[in-house]
Amino acid sequence: MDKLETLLNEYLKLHPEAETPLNYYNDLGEDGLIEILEQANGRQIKWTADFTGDVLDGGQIQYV
Amino acid sequence: MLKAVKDTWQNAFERTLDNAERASVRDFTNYYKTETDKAIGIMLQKNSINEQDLLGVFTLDGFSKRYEALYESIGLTFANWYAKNFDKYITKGVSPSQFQEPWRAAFRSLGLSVGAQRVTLVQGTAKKTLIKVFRQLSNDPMFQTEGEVVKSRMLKQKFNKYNTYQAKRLVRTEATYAANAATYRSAQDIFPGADMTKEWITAMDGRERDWHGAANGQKVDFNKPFIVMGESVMYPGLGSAANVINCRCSMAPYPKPNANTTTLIDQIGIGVSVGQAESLIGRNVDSAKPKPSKIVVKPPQPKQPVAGEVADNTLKAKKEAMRPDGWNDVVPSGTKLNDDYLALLETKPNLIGTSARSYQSSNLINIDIRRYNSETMGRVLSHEFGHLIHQTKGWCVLSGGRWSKSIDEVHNFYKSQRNKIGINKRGAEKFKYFKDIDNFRITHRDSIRSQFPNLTDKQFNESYAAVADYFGALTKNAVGWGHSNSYYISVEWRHAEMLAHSFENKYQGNAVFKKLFPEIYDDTIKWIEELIAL
Repeated sequence: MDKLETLLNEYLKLHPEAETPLNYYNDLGEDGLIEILEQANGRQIKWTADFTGDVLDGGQIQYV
Repeated sequence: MLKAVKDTWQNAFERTLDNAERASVRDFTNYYKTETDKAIGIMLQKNSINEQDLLGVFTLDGFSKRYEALYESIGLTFANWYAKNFDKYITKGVSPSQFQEPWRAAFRSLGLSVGAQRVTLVQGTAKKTLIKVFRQLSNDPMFQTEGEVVKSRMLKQKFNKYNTYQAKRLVRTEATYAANAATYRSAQDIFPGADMTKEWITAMDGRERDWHGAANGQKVDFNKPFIVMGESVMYPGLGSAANVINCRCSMAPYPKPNANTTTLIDQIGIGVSVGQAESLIGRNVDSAKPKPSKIVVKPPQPKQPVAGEVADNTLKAKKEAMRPDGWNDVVPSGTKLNDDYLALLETKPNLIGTSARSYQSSNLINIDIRRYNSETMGRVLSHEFGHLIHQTKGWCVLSGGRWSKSIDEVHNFYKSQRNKIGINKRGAEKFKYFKDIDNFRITHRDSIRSQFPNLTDKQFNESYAAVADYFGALTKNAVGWGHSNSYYISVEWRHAEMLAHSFENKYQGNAVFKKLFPEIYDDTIKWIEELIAL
């Protein structure tokens, strides 16, 4: 089982109702996603897309 | 265009520009003054100053907001100024009032993009100047002996001159670009689908550059660049410093004359004042006044040549004219890519490489150069340029949520793809199409890795993610992944990602997509080719 899969499973076990962080893959990539999951420390991750203008593929990550 | 009309046009343009600049100069001057006052307080309290002391002064956010406001203000003024000039000739059914909010959003977005490239330098200069001036004055014996009130006055006197000068310089650097970008956008919107010409107009006041004097009166097709001093530029305000600094030239776009409109450009009421133009913001100008018959709109839209059909030398010239200046700084040597999509662009974009995530906004493309190397750079470039092209071609235009719009060809493709994969069905049938790939579970990705021995891990992972995101967009994340659920709330954002991944397939290819979903893969390439041919 690779690192990403392990972290995803751990995260979704902790937050079964949360959106899968795989949905942030396009913006963060493999390494970025692993980093975000490692730094979550039990917190839930929230993604805010940038809809203020015509920004495509933009957005911000937050821990809640 | 007749010389007299050209003179009137240019005079009106410059008068409007001067007036529009004043508000922005005031805004920047006030900001410089407020921040300088803050710094003076710190200086007098500490009797010294360094970079650390100025952390809360002249912030990046403070500058960004003012760039955004500058582009919004000048952009709206000129979009309406242009529309008002052509009021009597606007295509039937089109009203500038319907564009106020999309224009506002687009110009603000442009301001943020431009600001993103400028703010670090502008902030650094402002802070360095604060420190330099204070240190110079501190060494003056007269300054040293004065009390706090006089010292404060002396510092303010010094900084006031700098603040005014810097605000004027900064606004003037942006204003010509903002005004011409807005004129371009306005023409695109009020004459949708029209076959247009644009003419370069130079302020022939004896101070013009020789090469801008030579460019005066140059006419090119609306979507083609002007050639000025050997440089391809879509309109004044763009290009290298030699073409941009202190330039006050304008561009006049207008529908090509035909039997009904031979004298259109010489008859229009050019010379609308800034007051009149500004009064249009928020006003419904689609008045009861009768409009002349519809002009120079070619139904259907003119057929664009497909890249592969263009003669090699033409394609190459067009690509090179549109290749962003920073291309070689972003694209690592050894990158294999097909960049024919550059020939589909209408304005040379800005391309920058940073360690922030990749995105496209207005005419700016940012690439995460930490994530993408020579193995994967081609994919992300075709994706982000795909976004830029579907926006500029009008196939799918995203302008801040509810203003977004896709053309019928995009809506129809989306629907037909959903029918093909059966995602609209109920029960077990709903996900049957994806049973062989286990609904894109990450474990499935690992299990099929060995089928692509010619791909590196990076190439495989990015290719697989592109497939997952295509279907994520198509099914609103019922199957697949790559963008957040909130990103896909509006259907146009789903269209946009499908288009960008289809661009990847057409120009970069995707071995994983092709092997797992050959029919859909071929559909996406055909779709892009059909859109280009519209």
